[in-house]
Amino acid sequence: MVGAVHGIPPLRRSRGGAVLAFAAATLLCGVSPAEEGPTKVSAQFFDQYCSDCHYEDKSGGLDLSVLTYDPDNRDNFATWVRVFDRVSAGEMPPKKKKERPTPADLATFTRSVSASLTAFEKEVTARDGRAIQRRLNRYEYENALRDLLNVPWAQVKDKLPLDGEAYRFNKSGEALDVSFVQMERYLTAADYAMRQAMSAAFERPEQSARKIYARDAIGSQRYRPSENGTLSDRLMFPVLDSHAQPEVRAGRAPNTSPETREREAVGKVSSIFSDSGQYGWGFNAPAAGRYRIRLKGYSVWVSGGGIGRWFYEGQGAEKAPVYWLPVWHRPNADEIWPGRNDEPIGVYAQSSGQTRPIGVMDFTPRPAVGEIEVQLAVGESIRTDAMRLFRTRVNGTDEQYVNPLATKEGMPGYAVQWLEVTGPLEDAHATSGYRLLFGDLPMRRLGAGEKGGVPLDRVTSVVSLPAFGGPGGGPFRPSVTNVAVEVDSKAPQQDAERLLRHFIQAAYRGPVDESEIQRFLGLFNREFALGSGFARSMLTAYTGVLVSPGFVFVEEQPGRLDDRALATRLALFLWNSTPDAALRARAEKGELHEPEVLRAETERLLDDPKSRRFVDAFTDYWLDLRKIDDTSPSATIYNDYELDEPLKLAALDETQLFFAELLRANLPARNVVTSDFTYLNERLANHYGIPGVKGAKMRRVTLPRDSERGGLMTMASVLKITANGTTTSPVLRGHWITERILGIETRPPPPTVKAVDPDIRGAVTIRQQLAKHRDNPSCAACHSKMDPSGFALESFDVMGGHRDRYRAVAEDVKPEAGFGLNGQAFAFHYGLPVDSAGELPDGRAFHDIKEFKRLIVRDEVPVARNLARQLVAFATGVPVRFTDRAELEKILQHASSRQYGVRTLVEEVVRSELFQTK
Amino acid sequence: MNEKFSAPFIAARRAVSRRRFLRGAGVAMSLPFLDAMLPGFARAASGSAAATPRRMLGICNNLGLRPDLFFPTSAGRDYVASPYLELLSAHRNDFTVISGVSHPNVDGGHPADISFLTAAPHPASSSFRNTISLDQHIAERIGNFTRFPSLTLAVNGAARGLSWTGAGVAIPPEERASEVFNQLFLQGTPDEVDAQIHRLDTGRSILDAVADQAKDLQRDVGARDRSRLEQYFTSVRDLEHRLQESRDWERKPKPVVSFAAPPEITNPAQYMDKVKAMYDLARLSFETDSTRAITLMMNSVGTPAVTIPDATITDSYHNLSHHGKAEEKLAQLKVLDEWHMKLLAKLFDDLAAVSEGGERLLDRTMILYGSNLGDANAHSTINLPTLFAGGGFRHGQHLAFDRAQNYPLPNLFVSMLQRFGLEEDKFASSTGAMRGLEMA
Repeated sequence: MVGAVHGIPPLRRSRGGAVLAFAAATLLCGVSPAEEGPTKVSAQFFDQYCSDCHYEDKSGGLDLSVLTYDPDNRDNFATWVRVFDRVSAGEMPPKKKKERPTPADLATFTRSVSASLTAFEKEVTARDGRAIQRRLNRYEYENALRDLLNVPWAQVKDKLPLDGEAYRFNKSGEALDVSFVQMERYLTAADYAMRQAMSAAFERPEQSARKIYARDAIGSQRYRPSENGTLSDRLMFPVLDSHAQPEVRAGRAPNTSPETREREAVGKVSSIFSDSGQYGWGFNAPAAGRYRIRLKGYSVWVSGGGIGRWFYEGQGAEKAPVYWLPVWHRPNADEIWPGRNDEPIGVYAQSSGQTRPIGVMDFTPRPAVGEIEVQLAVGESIRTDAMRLFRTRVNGTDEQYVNPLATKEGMPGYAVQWLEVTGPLEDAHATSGYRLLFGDLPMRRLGAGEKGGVPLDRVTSVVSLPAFGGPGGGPFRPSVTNVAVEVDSKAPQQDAERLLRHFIQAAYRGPVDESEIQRFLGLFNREFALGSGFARSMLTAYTGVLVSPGFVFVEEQPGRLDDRALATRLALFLWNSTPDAALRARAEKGELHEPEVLRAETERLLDDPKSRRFVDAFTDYWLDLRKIDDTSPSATIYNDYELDEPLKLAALDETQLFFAELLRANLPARNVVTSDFTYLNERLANHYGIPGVKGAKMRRVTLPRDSERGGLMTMASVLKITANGTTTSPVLRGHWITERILGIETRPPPPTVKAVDPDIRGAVTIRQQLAKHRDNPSCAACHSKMDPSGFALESFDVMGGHRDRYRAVAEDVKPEAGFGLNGQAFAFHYGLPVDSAGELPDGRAFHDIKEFKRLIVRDEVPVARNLARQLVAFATGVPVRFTDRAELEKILQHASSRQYGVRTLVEEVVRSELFQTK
Repeated sequence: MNEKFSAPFIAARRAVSRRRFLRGAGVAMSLPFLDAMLPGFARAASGSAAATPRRMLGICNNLGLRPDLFFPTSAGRDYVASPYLELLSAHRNDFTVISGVSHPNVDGGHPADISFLTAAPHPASSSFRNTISLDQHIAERIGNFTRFPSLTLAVNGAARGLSWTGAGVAIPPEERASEVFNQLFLQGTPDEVDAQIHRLDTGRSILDAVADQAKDLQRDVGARDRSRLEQYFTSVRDLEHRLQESRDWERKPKPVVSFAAPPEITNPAQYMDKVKAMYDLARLSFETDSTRAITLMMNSVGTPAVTIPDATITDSYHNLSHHGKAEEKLAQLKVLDEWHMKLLAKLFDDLAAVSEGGERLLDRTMILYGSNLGDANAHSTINLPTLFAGGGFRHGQHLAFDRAQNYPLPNLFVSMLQRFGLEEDKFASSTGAMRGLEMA
């Protein structure tokens, strides 16, 4: 039904006037009472109690004199819900108004509005369902392809256009559009993923261990500066048993010798913040799969006083370097000492155009071996680099591009001995993706001059090993090229039909009509007849399947979901992917909807490691974690945080691990606000001022009794996301916390309000700037709800570090030298002291964030309710609507005996009507 | 990865703006418009829009310019140039500077850059839906005159672009100038062309199959769900259509240029070099009539400390923009802003130096340089710094509107559409054509 039918003309009239327009409309259209909505009853009510302020748009942006009832229009419907909510909560008409409605008037009004809104929503639900049909989002499409084809390393998400968002998540059909761009990307992505699966089965090497010595991988010419350039901090240097080897460095002794080989190392004092890093080990994964990476090395301390820069004079044989004076912040690579601290070393997987962090290892002053296991795509290379030593960081000296932690006593560095890569590790399922595509048919290289074929990425082996330190020598250079392959079939037609039938059933998550098989078989036949060969013709048909509505759309019928749809919804909720074979089997037997079975499957999915995808996808949107890199701390006043990757990564990990733990251990929802534990590593613990946590590994830590940390809102991730890198705004932070954590939605300010212009000169605090704002009563209505949490969080800076005073820049004040929490020297100027006190809308006062959290958590129900609402929106693509409110309360009621455990909330959402109906 | 082998069909070569599928061949206009080359080729006229080619380049610097140094203090034709505009004084009569304009209800600070050419309201809200951008609106109408209906480019940000389809879907921008250059001017071998045509046909047959399925499924679903399947169906047909048009272009030779391929610049700190490379590409594309609508997002927000000859920039671009009125930061920001002006002056020079049909190419090329932020320090989205150059208007003036209660910027888009010869009087939240702006 379209809006024109429901759309009742506005009640155009002057205050106290007759409702002529409405009456005329009723007569003309002959609308029945059910369709006329709440306008009739409300007209009188509005006239009597609301007109003083809300006619002709005098207040709150709501002009009741022109308010129509047009429920198909989402904004209009929301307006009516808001009217209902404010009136039934007693907020409107305002208490100070003299003429107030009688209880009977009130009841008549709210009942009428409620009845209309309910009738409309129920009708929509019956006809179309709560949700409208949607396609998979890019996270889900990636996971679905990874699971179907067993290619967990495949990077699909970034090949697809950004998804639209509705109701905060990327789960609603209202925002998940399809365009020709989307279609094009599906074609490319599906093809890529299938070729990855083929590649994993082609030339699969035996598991082998390859040990690469740093002295071999890194040519000794990197020990010496190049002409007119290389700053000494970028050079590498030979290290043996934590000490320098000046003779080797000068080229007067061999780079490596058999007696010392195992103990030899190569050192460095800086790292590069980009993908053009050092210590590329000359290893490219020969095949996709799982690899074990071991790295041996240790931290060192390097004396300062090295040469600032080399210059040369003279020509030809006369040419000789001219040294400049030594400077304290440049390394003297001929003076190396055992390390004074641990150094976290990042491990990265690199392919053309992208770098992804795959692990962190601690280097200690004593040599040790770190080990990780990772998934690599074919051709990906390994890079290792110190995470704290980005040379582009500012360190408080005038000189740029030095070790950021350099002091007059020298600087930290690290030395690597060797890297050992073992793999691809034995994996019985390694070729299961290929088998889904081609069964037992053999794959071979395409013959010369043969048509067709499918191109696969392939690593060509090392051509030659340059002599150590010889001219032009460098690391190994295996390269990634293409090889065309073909799959042989003796009976192409029969094989094609057999394989395709099996493939479609796997991809379509359920039984498939014969006509669908024939549809895609037609694609194979056409392509095969054109001479494209068996493999490429099959991929053509499969591509059709993987971009078709049957795969990319989530199929649901209005009413209660059938078992197949329920299985898909459950998997998309808890794995952010499509159902596995076991879940599908339950659905196909028609027993998934049975409460016991559904409960058991929910448990199984939650217990599976794949549930981490839910944690990441949910927190990416609910808490905006995907926006962690949207701003970076100012290099002027927060340069102690500049390029602090370890801190940022730990902050992200903390939030994800924390939520995963709430889910795993079914901890009460109130932990979202305040909790006695969190996840920390050394860097993050340092940031929070919590002693006793050593090393880069994240672990569960019980917080000190009086800690201000614990709960989401005092996590560095959230505090970073809610700041802009330079300043914090209690309004913006408060608004975010109010919406995401406390579950109170506030409307955006009217367009005429001017944003507060941040001032970091230190003379005025943001609170003082805002005071004027809050004194305005129409602003105060929302600000009294939003600002308290923002004020309480003023004691945290843009990266979530505790502060008692603001930081500022000012030209007329001499900056004072300070020390960053990571030991890095920097300079800044203190501004005014922070005031983190405030009061809640109900008048309860708090002095700081700890008291604020205590007040909030005194009633844990709103906190649990908010979490349940977010879960419902994520799981069903639709927020809790007007008519869903009772069902939401049921979810809460069922969870109350478990103190609103997070896992229980998830289970109750699954059990609810909201989840089980379209 | 070797691009030639990247997919068995369709996406075999990286598309310009990654849109592989080109509108084609209503007219035989595939060849350069360069005067020197014209005599050898017959020129088919087709409608008024083809008679005099008009072009647009829409540029958004998503951190804007310092308003105190950009906006002139006096209005009209006799305005006194501001410090920044001094740097463009050689072209004073080639541009109009506009103050007191913004997109109505486009707020939310940084996220507003994606609304710069769409004017879709409230880009930061959770229920935001973007709408078609000016360049796509134009490409849909006249894109078939050129090999590429449009180019979507970006500096330092493949994730954020200015071009959005009619479905409100982002067209991912291309940020590698060399790649765009290859697509524009590198010929394929006959084998490659045959293979490409085979791939396009395969793509079309796949799309046919899935379109049929979508049609079948539509029968069984309710109205709201059907609208989603219809959108899918339309997208498939749209893509098929583009494949067909693309196929038509495959056998036509690409233009020959003497300009060398631009170097690959990967370092985001070389921001200004990247901008210059994109300006050069835009000029070449227009000169060869390879496209008539180009957008360029300068993602300053995602740019680290910029490398500038003879100047030291200590902070990332975004941090500088949050200068908090600190002199040191303001000074560095000024250096960057001035570079923007110098590069624009060079672009104007270059476009003015090319002659087409007896006119300067500049006079047939509308250049909109602006930002979604009026003052990045406060994230304000009003009083946007706006420079409008070329395209055949009576320039040389400062159009000054109320800096607090702004005049709608979409009105300028309407003027641009009309300059294209399109009979349109509305774009997004426009209220008419730009007041005070007259065609030459």
